[in-house]
Amino acid sequence: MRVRNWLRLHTSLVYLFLYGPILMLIVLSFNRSGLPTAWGGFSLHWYQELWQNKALLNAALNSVLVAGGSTLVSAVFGTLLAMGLERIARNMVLDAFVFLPMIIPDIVLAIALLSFFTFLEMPLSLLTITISHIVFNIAFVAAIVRTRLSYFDNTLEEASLDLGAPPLKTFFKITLPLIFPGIVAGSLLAFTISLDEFVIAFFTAGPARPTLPILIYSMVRFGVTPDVNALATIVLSISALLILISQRLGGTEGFF
Amino acid sequence: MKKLVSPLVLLGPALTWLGIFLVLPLALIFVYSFFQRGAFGQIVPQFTLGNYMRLFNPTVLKVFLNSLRIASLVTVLALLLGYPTAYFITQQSARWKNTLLVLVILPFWTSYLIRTYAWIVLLNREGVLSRLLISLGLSREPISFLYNDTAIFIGLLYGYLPFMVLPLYSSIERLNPELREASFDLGATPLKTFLQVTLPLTLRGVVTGAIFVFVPSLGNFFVPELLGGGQRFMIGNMINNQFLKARDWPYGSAMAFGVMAIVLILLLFQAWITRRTEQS
Amino acid sequence: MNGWRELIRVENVVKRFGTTIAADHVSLSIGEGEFFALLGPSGCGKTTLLRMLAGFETPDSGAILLDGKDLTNVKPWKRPVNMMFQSYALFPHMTVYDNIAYGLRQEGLAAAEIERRVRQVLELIGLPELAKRKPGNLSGGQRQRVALARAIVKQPRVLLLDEPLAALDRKLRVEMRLELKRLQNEVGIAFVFVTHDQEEALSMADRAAVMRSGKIMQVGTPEELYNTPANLYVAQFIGEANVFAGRLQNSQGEWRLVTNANAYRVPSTEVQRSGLTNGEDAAVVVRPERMVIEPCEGEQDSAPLNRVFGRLLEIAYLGNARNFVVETDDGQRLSIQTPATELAPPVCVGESVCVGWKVESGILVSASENGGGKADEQA
Repeated sequence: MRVRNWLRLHTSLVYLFLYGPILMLIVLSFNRSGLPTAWGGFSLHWYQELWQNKALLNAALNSVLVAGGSTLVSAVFGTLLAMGLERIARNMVLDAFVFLPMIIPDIVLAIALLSFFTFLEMPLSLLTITISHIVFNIAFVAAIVRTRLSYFDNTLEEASLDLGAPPLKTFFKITLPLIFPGIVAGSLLAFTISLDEFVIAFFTAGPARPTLPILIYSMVRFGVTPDVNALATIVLSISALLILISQRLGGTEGFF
Repeated sequence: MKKLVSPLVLLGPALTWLGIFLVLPLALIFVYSFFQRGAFGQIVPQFTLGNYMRLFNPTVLKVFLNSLRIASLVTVLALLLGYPTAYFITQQSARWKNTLLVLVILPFWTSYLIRTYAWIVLLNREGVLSRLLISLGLSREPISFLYNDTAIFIGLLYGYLPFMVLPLYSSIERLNPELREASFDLGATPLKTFLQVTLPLTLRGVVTGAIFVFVPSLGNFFVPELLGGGQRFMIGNMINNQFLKARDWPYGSAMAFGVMAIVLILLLFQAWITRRTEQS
Repeated sequence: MNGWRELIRVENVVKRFGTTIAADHVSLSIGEGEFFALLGPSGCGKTTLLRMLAGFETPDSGAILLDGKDLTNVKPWKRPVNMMFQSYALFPHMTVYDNIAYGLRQEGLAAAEIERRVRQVLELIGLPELAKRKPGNLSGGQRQRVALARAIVKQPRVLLLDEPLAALDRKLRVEMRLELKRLQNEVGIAFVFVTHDQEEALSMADRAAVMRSGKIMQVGTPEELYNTPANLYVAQFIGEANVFAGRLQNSQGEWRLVTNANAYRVPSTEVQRSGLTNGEDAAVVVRPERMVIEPCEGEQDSAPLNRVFGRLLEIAYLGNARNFVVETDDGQRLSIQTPATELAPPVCVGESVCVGWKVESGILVSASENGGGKADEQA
């Protein structure tokens, strides 16, 4: 059929659009010459360069701290939230509220949090970024755990109770093991988002300890430098890896 | 279990967190938006509607309209690129479907900032495209493709296209294939079937995708900053400026609520469409 | 079947999906105005055959003709054939009226003509007041009627129905059988329907084709399929069957089926019909309602009966009949049914009983079962 071939061509071009620039970055990151057009041979030079960049390593560490902290809290809160939402009748207003951070423009959330922390006279730091990231990460974890719960057979819990396991024991022996992959998937997703999040971090970060995206932003504003290619390749690879694992665990399905 | 643990215990921690760090901050800037800016950038708690009035002065209005224009165009382009792609994916075998979907999902969740940077490498004066044109003899001197509206379009489209494909995919996938066959069977050609059956029944995906692209495009500030050179203002840049440069937080807050008003209208529209399609 | 005139002809159609074969050299004729069933277990290829008639699948080889014209490569939207889908496939965003008018609008008919025909068909299915409803607000039975109306309003030469009653609950299903028959009589269009339910096929169809693994095992009227099955597969698929497998032998002009333990007399008419000859592997099939059960005493050879001995395992009262399960001495299970209107035979569970059938009630079929078979052993 002609239509099918046309669709195939269209789709191929769309994927080329999505992946062309990324692949180009990756290739350039191994280019000894550092120039976008002259191939100076394969080299890990720019990666070694990164390794010696103290500021960058610090920023990376900051990012991991923020992502780790916010993921830990939102994994617990998000899971409980999903279980709570599953237990009550579907409520449009509550849903809208909980998933609001996913839809409002991040700049709005960013200035609101900045104003709030300033109002409370809380010094901006890694802590303020972490607190802010939890706000939207709860929604992501909850969304994924909730999908998992919707496949969950409620009679399993009832069977456990019937067989004599009290509620708390039932939760740890039956419910938790069954939804655990969902929690892990949601947490990996939250970790990745937090790691890459720029706008809210930009507004709620203190001047002394930037996260990696903030540092990248300031590097990029001053133009193209070859070591950014290497950094970009590393960051994209880590994110992609985490997302693929999350996906394997059934993470990103049923998001829409 | 349902009756044994009160849902309040489960909902409590998250709702408390969101209450403190989402509702209160939004409420705070809502209040700020009615206050005045002091001489040193401090906030003076004196009621005024002036910040909202100033949203309608021509320069600001122009930025708003320009942002709306850019975001709309990005949305339409994303729809034109995304619909056939999503449709094509649904037609594949389970294995290919999965692979193609993962390939859409990956950029969806990876650093947008870095993906924007890739376009700087491509489009700048010393960039790949410019060099390519020179070496092909199509140009004598380096050309910068950055710092114009097209660069912003490309950057936003590139970042948010997956946001369009995914909801479209799921709504097309959910469509009972027998409906299309029934339409063929009743004498409708493929084109008519698409217009009369497939498209109306996937409208929900179209609207969701459109909102997922439109809203963040409208509020984005680093793409116009990096690819538009900061000279081509969108709302996001303006808010950014009020907060970090001009230090007129009340005015910036009013702008933010201008954006929120637009978002709210869109969400109500989406809810309306959802209700309409759910009825059937 | 007087005045039977061929409408559809399926000629040697083959269709493969990867390694599975959905249609294995299928040939078939369906007559004008006929109510025809494609019957078989799931995966036997019946739905594929229906979809090839509709044009959603193209045969790998072979041809499909309608009125002598080759339809094989005609697109679905150009065929004078319409389908009622298993899910009904009613367009959820359109009213009942718009659903039914959809096909007519594709033909570019005038609005007044469309209106007239839609109203008419709504009357026919008895739902004139539901025109403005959306499919989401209809009951299962109503949806089914609308789906039917949407297809017949186009006045196709053939109406295809994919498991038309599968989505309904049991009571409604039985009602709708009669309703479908009535509608078919009224509109006079040939109906071809797919079902896995032999009761449904027998009760509605003028003729049915029994399919298995992409092959047609037998085509015939319900009575032919039940009383003179072409092979063991059909005998077991249509209705309940007690099967005795053995070897056919002719001794002194009398035909017998010799099994491990026994020998049963076989009517010579059956031998002729089946075309089996002396020494061939064969099976005798006896329907449960053709068997009698009695206590194991008295004289053992009342002339026209074949007999077998066993122990009664179970009696079930079914309302209109009693069902007895007997295990014979060589371990085979038999099912016997007697009308509930008769006195219950004086037998008790656990006791030895004697099961018998009139010689002419035995149906003789080939045990080697042409048509590529396993399933010759009764599980």
